[in-house]
Amino acid sequence: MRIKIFLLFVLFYIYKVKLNYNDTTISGEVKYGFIQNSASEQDKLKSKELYNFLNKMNEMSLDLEFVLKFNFKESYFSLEEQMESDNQPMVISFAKNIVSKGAYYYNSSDDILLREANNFENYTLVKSKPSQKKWNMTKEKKRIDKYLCYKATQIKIVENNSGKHEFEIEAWYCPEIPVPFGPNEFNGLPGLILELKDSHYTLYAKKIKLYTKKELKIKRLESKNVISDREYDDYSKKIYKSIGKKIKN
Amino acid sequence: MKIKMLSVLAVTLFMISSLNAVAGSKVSNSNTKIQAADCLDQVDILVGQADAAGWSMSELTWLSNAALAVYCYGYTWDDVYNQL
Repeated sequence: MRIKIFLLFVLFYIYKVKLNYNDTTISGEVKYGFIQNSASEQDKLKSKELYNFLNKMNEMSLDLEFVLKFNFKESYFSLEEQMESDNQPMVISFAKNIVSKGAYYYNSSDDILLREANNFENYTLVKSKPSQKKWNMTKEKKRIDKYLCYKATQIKIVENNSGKHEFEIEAWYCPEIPVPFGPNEFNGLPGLILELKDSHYTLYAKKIKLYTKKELKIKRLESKNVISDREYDDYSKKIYKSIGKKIKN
Repeated sequence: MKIKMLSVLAVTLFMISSLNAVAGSKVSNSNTKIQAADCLDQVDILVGQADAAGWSMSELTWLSNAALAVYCYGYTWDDVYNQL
């Protein structure tokens, strides 16, 4: 009799633990809009052609949105599929190559980030470890929607033909939503990133949906062709040079 | 079908590398050199400005191809949009 009572008690405890676990499990979906980072009048004058081009692209891409889907362990960030079929190809290509630089899968348990590279003939993924990029946490805070967010920064270095360029990346994360996910390649903060100032564009949350009882399934990206960030940079340089040579010839 | 066509055009824009073949179909041979020189200057200006602004190599590659399509291959932005 005592054993039966004990077993019942254990079963009840397991059920209770499972119930609590499900209540705190968070899944969610955030839609982000984007806006070009502000530039000085001097820069706009100096690079008139570039800013004219970007203004045209910005006008055409006003209604585009990116979506970040996540559960407690994984996330997937990409341009919203519906947008792809409703919009012009040039604008879609612009958003995918310049604003986000691909779609991203992140697994926080393994600390693995996989990016779908757009410019390969075969489906190729670029693999990296987000934890290698350290955040500088600050006490600066602001409200985004109803959430209190804190600012964190990190330095992004871009090396191109004219040398090395440093950008300060700003992320506004929300500890009330304790998942380490965010847009583009930026992850690893103690809360969901609701606003991100990347090198050229700022992505900001437009709609936030959180599920406490429903767990979204995130499909891990798979490919036979997986390369490192370094290999991707080398490949990009090679492609760029080959275009330059063809133009000159 | 539309998605497939969009993808094809996006990839085409990115992968276009046969400048001579396309330029040949758009302008007469006698004019090609003059037009190519002008358009390449425009591409150079745009890409040079992006380079100075710290665009990455993959971003510069995308921009070069987009600018080539518009400035050198005889397409306007509207032409590109109306292809579909």
